[in-house]
Amino acid sequence: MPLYKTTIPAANDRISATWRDLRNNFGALGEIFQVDHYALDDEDADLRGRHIKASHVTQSADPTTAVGERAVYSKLNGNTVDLYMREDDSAGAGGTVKKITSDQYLDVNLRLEAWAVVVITRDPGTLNFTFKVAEQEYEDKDGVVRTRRLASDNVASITQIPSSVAEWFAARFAFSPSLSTADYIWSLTSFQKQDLRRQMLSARPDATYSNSVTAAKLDVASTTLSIGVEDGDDVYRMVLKIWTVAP
Amino acid sequence: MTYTPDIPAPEDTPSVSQGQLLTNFQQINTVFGVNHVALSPAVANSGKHNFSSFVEQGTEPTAGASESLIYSVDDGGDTELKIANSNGSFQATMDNLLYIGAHPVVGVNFEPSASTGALPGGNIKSSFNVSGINVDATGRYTISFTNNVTDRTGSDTRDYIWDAQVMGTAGIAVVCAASGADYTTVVNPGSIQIEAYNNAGNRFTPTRIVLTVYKVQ
Repeated sequence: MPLYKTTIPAANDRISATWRDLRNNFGALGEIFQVDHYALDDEDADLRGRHIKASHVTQSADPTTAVGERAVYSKLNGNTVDLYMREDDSAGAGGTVKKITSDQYLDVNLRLEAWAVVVITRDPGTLNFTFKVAEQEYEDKDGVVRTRRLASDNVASITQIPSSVAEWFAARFAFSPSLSTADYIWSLTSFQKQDLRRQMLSARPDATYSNSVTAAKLDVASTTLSIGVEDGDDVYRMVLKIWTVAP
Repeated sequence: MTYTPDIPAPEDTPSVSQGQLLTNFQQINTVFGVNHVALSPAVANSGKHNFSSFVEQGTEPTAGASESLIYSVDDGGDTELKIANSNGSFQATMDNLLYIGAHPVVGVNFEPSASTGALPGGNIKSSFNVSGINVDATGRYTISFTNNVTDRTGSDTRDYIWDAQVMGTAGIAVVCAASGADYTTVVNPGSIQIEAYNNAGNRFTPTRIVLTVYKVQ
């Protein structure tokens, strides 16, 4: 890359002596500007000067911000380079600094590590259940109809497992790859069409945590709150969310 | 120092243009050095960003068909980031948090104990913004937060969203905000009291409890 000089041309330089420096400066300017940006002479005039990306060189200290501006930058967090932001300096004491990323995730204190919307069907007259991740059709930007699976990619399967007395059904969520910890925070909610045999979803009861909850699986049970008629009172959908504390 | 974009003119003599060219080169280096690793001296990262500062825009820009934008706007006196793409724009930050509508501000997975008093730290299996848990009575727990839950103005608030779940030992179990004479005796900016009940309707010590609290942004 040609060296960009800030001292040329000097007052007594002749063009014949400085034209190379002038050309080098224009060349260096063009090359360096192309880092992160479309070139000054990009063949598409509309693209010239726009950002391709913004790569942020790691800063050793949080940059200052003025009133009415917010900054985004990179800083070391342990051995990881994370994105940070700093609020504007309206209080005059330096804007508040907040981490934007945490490893490969956005830093939102807790991260939604797994989730699924599950449709449940039962063979009439039996206790054989089928669990299927719900699907949703959508049109992409080219107008092509596609199907979206309503679960995170790490929800590998949901299968029925043998149930105990008082359990209407028991099922196992299998995670692949395994979740980052077994001490995650789950949330289970259900939908029933009728209120006759009220079901309650929970992590499968057991005195030993790891019998139901591990990083690779979550066993859930639907227990019956009240006895009603035989059919038409199943859980038709369940929604699972699993949060983990961001590192 | 100013940048003069329209020099040299055809009739300029080099002695006149020299000062303008020199000033322009210096000014380009200075201005480009705002937010960026400067042109001179040339280093491996020249041209990359040190940081990106976004000055409030009075009129919000619109993204073209094949581009996305990041910019900042005034939001009630605060400067907040917005992102725009071909589907429109949305707010990306609020105060010092990413803006996701309801932001999780407390999370905990803990193993309850039958012994009253402070729950041993080892029973708190994972947590965020939890300073401690007290076993108030069998099946009744107060979870204290390191930082209070606040509203948009920064004031403490009890009007937040919680979600508690339980893993019982057998049969049906539920966990809920504790029964109290008044909401304020149970749900506080710095703590929440919850209770676990078994199938017989009695408070009991379950295998595990998980709790999340969301701040409405």
